[in-house]
Amino acid sequence: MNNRLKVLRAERNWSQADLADALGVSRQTVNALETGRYDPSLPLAFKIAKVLEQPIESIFSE
Amino acid sequence: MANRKSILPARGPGAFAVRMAMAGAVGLLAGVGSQIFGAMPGLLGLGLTLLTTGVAMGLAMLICVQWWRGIDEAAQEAHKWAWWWGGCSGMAVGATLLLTALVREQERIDDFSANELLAIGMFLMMTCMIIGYGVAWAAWWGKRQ
Repeated sequence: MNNRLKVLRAERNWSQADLADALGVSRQTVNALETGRYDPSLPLAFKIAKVLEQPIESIFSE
Repeated sequence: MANRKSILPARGPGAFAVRMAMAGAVGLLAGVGSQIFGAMPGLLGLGLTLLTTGVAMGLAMLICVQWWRGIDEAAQEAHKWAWWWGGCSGMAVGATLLLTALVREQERIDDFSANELLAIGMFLMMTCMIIGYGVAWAAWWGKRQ
């Protein structure tokens, strides 16, 4: 699964640690998500969409 | 309802170290208790030894549950993956070593008491599983950095 997490985070001038804090996960987890090496659960994907104020389908794609 | 804030660190190496130290302290108490009650004769000694060990195991599980709830889903996934692949691989190595020793080293085995053999078997199996677990855990995170 692909995602635009890194781009969306950069647009907000957030560090990985900032996003990790907002999501309640570790920075390592944010890094794994951004590099596409870890696919989030549905609850975490919805939380990411909420934090980034984007529809979930605009962040994640097949 | 107000959230209860724990004074213990929720995640990171510090949280893990604190929980390990707590579990170690519980294990130490269980060991001391088992030694004391294990020396008592009859059913009372057996019951108290079982109770001490059982309570200690329960406390250790509670410590684990509290730590588990504090880590995020990727960290949980890493541990589940490591438990299955690393733990099972370690168990396979441990079982191979134990079975080989059982078949090939009968004379040396006869030198040990039943208690010693049980302890050696448990220690060997646990060591192999923990090494496998550690390697698998590091591999899971290594692939995702």
